[in-house]
Amino acid sequence: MEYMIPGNLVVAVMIFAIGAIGIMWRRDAITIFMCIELMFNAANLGFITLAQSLGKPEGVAVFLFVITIAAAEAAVGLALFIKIFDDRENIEAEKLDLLKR
Amino acid sequence: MDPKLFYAQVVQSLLLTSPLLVLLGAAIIVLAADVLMPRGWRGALPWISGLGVAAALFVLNGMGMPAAPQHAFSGALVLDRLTFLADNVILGMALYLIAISPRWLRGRLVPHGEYYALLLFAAMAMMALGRSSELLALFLNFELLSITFYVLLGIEKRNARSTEAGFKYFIVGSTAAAFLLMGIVFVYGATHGQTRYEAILKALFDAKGAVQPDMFALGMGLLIVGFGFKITLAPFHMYAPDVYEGGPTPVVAALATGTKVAGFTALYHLVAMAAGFKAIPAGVWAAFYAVVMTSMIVGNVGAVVQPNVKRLLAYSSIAHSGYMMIPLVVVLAKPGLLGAAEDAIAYYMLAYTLMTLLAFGVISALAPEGEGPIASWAGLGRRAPLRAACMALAMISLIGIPPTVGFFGKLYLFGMAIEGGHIWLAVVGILASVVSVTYYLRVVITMYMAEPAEGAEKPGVMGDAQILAVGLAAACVFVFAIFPWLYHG
Repeated sequence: MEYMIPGNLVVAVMIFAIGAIGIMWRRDAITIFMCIELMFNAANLGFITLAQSLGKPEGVAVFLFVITIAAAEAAVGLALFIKIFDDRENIEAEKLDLLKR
Repeated sequence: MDPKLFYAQVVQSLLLTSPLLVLLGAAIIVLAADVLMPRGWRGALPWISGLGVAAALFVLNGMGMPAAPQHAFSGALVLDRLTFLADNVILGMALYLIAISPRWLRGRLVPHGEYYALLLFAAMAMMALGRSSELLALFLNFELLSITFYVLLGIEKRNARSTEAGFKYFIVGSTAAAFLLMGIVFVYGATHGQTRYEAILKALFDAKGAVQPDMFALGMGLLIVGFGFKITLAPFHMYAPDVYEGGPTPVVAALATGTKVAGFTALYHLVAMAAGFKAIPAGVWAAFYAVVMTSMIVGNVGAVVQPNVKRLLAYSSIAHSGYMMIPLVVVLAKPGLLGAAEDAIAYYMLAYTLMTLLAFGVISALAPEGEGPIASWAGLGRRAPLRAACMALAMISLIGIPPTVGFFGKLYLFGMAIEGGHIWLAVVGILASVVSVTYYLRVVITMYMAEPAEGAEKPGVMGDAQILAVGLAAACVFVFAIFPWLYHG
């Protein structure tokens, strides 16, 4: 069976890659977290694209679950960020080195 | 659908997931009790949680081991032999942690109600993750477990190390979830919109070959990367030593054991789905193979230089994840060995959980000095003979010396490698185990041979529940080695 890769899937993969590179390069926790959200949304885009091109409208519903989960995660993550900020007045990931010998 | 049939299915699904629901109920009761009870009654919280876990164990074993896989919620969750055994291990772990926690929590700024409730939520999430048999359910349960642990790891107030551990696990855990989700997207696309494992299996081995093999392989690869973070496989293990060192000890024990039990159960179901699918490019399996090899090598070599017992156990857990991956690599090419792989993994997850929990139980009983450098363990053989003996037993079992569970677990795993024709996996595994003797025995030698530092005090006495839990775990290290049929029949 001939199968065309939808163009939007390529866009999704590129966004995912940008997010993954961002996690490795950026220093402050907020930007890293934004990169993670970027990766989640890339996956969302991929899901919606595929659901549409495969003619399975129910696949679109997945993004609702993913966004809910991402919101829950953001709530916990921001709480941790605030806790760290209270301790040391910055949230640069590289300066978190208490646990390195 | 006929409404009667629909309701019958809902009831059936709820019955199959009843152990999870019992834990959920217990967690909510704990939270409510924490708010409603007078402040002096805090001591009741571990008892309520313990009763909840005991009730879940009772309900689970009341159902008995299922002869054939039983599906719940239209195939989103499955209860089969492996998940039944994993659930028992996870609930046992939860009971153990609840027993050792009160003593460890004393004098620390940890909100008790939230702590016990989250432990129960974590146990529930682990069981749910292991039972997942649908891709979306897999993602949701994966995240449920992760989010619980972000909070649990950072739960200690005014302890910057605990917060840092929570933060690091948060960054790594959400990255892992993103990889997992992208993997799901590709598997979904490759199989033309299938998400249930059964349907994917059917699509894979359909003669018409509608599945895109490259896209499927990419998806499976990303899924394994996501799990690699969760079960600390080698290139994705960087966070583990820091998180293990900084996190609250009982929580780290849950992270090291229960999370892996759940992760391996879920991974086994994924691999069982794809086992024997020929069209996948060879490079993917080579990468899988390399991950197992590097986990065994990095874990064992990295542990040699660690100055702290919790960091040492982090590297040890990386190595043991590598060993536990062996059956999964083997069955990919030889789906005929699936039954044997299930047995080997089921036994090793019990063995690994028992010995690691024993070690963490002793560490928590020696807190806070036991959580420091290994040098502070000097002379414990005389200062705290029972705890030193239990730690020595845990170390001996982790090395894999008979007649302990660690030995028989490794025997099954390396036996699988030889049976599957992967001699090199067995050779590297055995060589890595030889290296592991040096660092495990270093702990034992420090306890029994080294002179304690000037002014080292006798560590505080253990609580009754703690003695009972650690003693039972120590006994089980022998019992399940000699009578393995007590566990998997």
